[in-house]
Amino acid sequence: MRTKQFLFLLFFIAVALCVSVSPLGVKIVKGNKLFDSVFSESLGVLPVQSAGRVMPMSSASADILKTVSGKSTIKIDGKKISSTQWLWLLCANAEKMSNLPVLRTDNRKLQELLKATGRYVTYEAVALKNEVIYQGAQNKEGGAYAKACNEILNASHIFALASNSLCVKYPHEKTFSEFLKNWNVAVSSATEELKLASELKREPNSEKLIVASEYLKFLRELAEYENHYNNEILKTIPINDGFTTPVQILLDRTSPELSVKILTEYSMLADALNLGDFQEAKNRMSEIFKIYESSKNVNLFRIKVEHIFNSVDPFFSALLLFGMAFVLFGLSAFKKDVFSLPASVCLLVGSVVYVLAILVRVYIQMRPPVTNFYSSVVFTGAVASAFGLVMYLKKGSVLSALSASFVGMLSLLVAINLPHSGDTMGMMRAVLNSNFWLSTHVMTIMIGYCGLFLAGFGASFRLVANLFSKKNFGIETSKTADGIYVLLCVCLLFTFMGTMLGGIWADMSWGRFWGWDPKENGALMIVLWTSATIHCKALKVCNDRFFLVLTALGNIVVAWAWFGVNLLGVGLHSYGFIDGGWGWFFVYIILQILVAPLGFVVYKDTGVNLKDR
Amino acid sequence: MLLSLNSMFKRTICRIKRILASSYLTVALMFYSVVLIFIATLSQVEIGVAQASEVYFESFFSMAEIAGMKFPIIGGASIGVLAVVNIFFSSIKYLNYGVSGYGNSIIHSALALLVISGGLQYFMRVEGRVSLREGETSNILFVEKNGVRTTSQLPFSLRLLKFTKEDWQGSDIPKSFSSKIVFVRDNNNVEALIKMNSPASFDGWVFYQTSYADGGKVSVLTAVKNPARMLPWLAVLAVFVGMLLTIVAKFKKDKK
Repeated sequence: MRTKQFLFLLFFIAVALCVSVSPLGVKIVKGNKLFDSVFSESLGVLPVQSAGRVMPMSSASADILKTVSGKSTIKIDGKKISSTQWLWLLCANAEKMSNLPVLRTDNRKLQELLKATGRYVTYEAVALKNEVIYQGAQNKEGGAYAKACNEILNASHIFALASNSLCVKYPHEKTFSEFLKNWNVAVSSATEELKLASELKREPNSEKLIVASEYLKFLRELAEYENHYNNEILKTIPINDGFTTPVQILLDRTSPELSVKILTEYSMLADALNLGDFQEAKNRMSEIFKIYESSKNVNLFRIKVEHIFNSVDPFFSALLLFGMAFVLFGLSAFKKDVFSLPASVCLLVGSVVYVLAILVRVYIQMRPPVTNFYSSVVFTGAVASAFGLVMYLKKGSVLSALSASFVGMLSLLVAINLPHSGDTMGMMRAVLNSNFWLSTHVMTIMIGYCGLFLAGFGASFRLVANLFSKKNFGIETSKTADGIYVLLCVCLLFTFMGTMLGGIWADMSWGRFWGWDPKENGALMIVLWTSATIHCKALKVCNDRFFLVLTALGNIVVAWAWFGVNLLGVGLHSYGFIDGGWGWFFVYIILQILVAPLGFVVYKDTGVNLKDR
Repeated sequence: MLLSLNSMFKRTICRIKRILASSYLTVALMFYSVVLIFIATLSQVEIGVAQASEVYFESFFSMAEIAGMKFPIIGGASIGVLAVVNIFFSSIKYLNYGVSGYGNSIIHSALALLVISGGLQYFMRVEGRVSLREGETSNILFVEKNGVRTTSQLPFSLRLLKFTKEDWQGSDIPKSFSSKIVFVRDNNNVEALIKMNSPASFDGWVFYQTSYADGGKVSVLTAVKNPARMLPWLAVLAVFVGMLLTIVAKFKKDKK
């Protein structure tokens, strides 16, 4: 019997591991070796810089593609390709790519104007109607349409800039390598002519200057365009202490040899891609890696780790596992002996994958786990699921396992569907550039929030379970309430300390402890609500069922402080705040409010619950 | 007659005491604060953070206005006073010994201190801005209170030696700002470096790096004089200690 159980355990672990590596498997089987190969050299691993951070091309290109189209992969000619491949094809053949519907807009009017295919429009269409869109964007009373116009203009700029990020050529030139050669020839002949003219004290022959000046004008315009978007553009060519763009390398005649070499290789690679000569492309790629390995300016190891992280997509596999765990735990209420083992395994493996993923992010970024909105959501889910798992393993309560898998699943769903706002591991602005405060204030408060969510969902599940329970659930209710009470006390410690540490940080950096800023208000609301809930039970102001209701409603307060305040900043000033994920925010609040009447559900036969505290 | 008056008086005092120490009042105050803060946050969008603080938090009673609807509210100042009173009477009512009891007493007295220090800061805190060009010496403080701008003079001068702004390589995202300054009083010069998250203090004034202007040639500093600055820090520390004591006591009790 023991061996049989052990074998079952092994089997479930194997299944869970298979699920967790499934995104990687899909990439290995379906991905293009040249662009997406995970463990060997591929174009996705090449180091680039965006908004001050050095990262693999697979991260940067996914960022760009998400910004313009809202997705991280794209279908071209009926075939799904990765963002890296898309970026290379965009640079190699900008004309073809600008005629494919890639830029996304959700506004109907704009879709009609630009003759969209579904939600997607082509860059060419935007360029043609540029003036109309620009006017639409300028209209201050244009509401959602003006907002959509602004967004599509921004997306089109990002698109245009990306198309010159790896290599450049003059519009009439045939290939990139040819342009490089011609540009060099033109510049040296022009320099020679100017030198000769000044030596002989005659006017320079304008015919010998004309080609160079045409090229120069073109490159300077591009450079100026790039300067406007310094934080958005992709810098792909390594230079002394960082990275820069191909245009800058061409304009600066004193560029180091390494940079010129890389640009030449990139240009040849793009030409090879254009001809469909993949063997040549592979050769160029290995040349590029040789150059990088000999230069040793960049920490390639960390970049490789990030590339593998992108390919493994651990958050997605954790989401799958939490979803499975949630369903299986739900089923185990009916058949405990069949479902509880696989459910536990899913939750365990999911949590391990989740926590490991966050640790890898910490290594890549060299920052504490919470640095921005996205990472706060991810971190909270991880802590909540790990905490719930420990409670489950220790006390065996299915309720905490259910809450753990639910919070884990929900936070990952939210994180994956957050409106894209650039790199999730971006550089920290001056005020936030302090690992000490990020790890004390931010992490403390996030641990508090996650505990509150766990408590809130635990309370909600108990109340819902009461509805279906056929036994006398009064004892169960007060047991749960006691457990949640302890959890809330710990959470109050964390949220209070987190909030006050924030006050001390503000006192250190701005000279004020408290300023009634919306974010501070939100945090204080949470502290007060939690404290009120705790006092309700401690001072016996209400019974256990209503204590659970208050805890469940606490979820709304936490969600408001965390998400709603952001919604306020962006939202009430603009019109389209229901789009993106905000509709879901309200659905969530309504669902949570619906839990409240469950506090009135009493076990009818004996009425014991009326008497409990 | 007199006796009954006396007993009535006593009874009334008792009743007031009971109300002020009531657990219902405790909970009601907290829930009301949540609502008050929520409404204030919403109105901040319309009237700005400073104005909203004045209406909702710094007043005893005032009129709130949300989306055209006007209604009277009890302001934050009243809540603060009631909270301190409630904490005081409840502490007497629930006075308890042992680790958990001490923990509770510490927490609640420190919370009262926190609320009081908030009130003190309202009266004692002075904030202004100093902007300096590189090499310039000045003692002028720009103060803005309730939308009115005035200038006043610091009892000493500041000279900006150098302002440094550093960006993350390859971007316009600022990495750090810092100002190297000299505090000048009579013939006494003290050099100091003010950085983001790292202020410098001189003669009761604390200087914070706030901003810069003119492409980094002018550094803008916030100057704060706040004798009650350390009170909230102390209160927070005390609450933390109290909470730890209470939670440790609770876990010990559970284990038994």
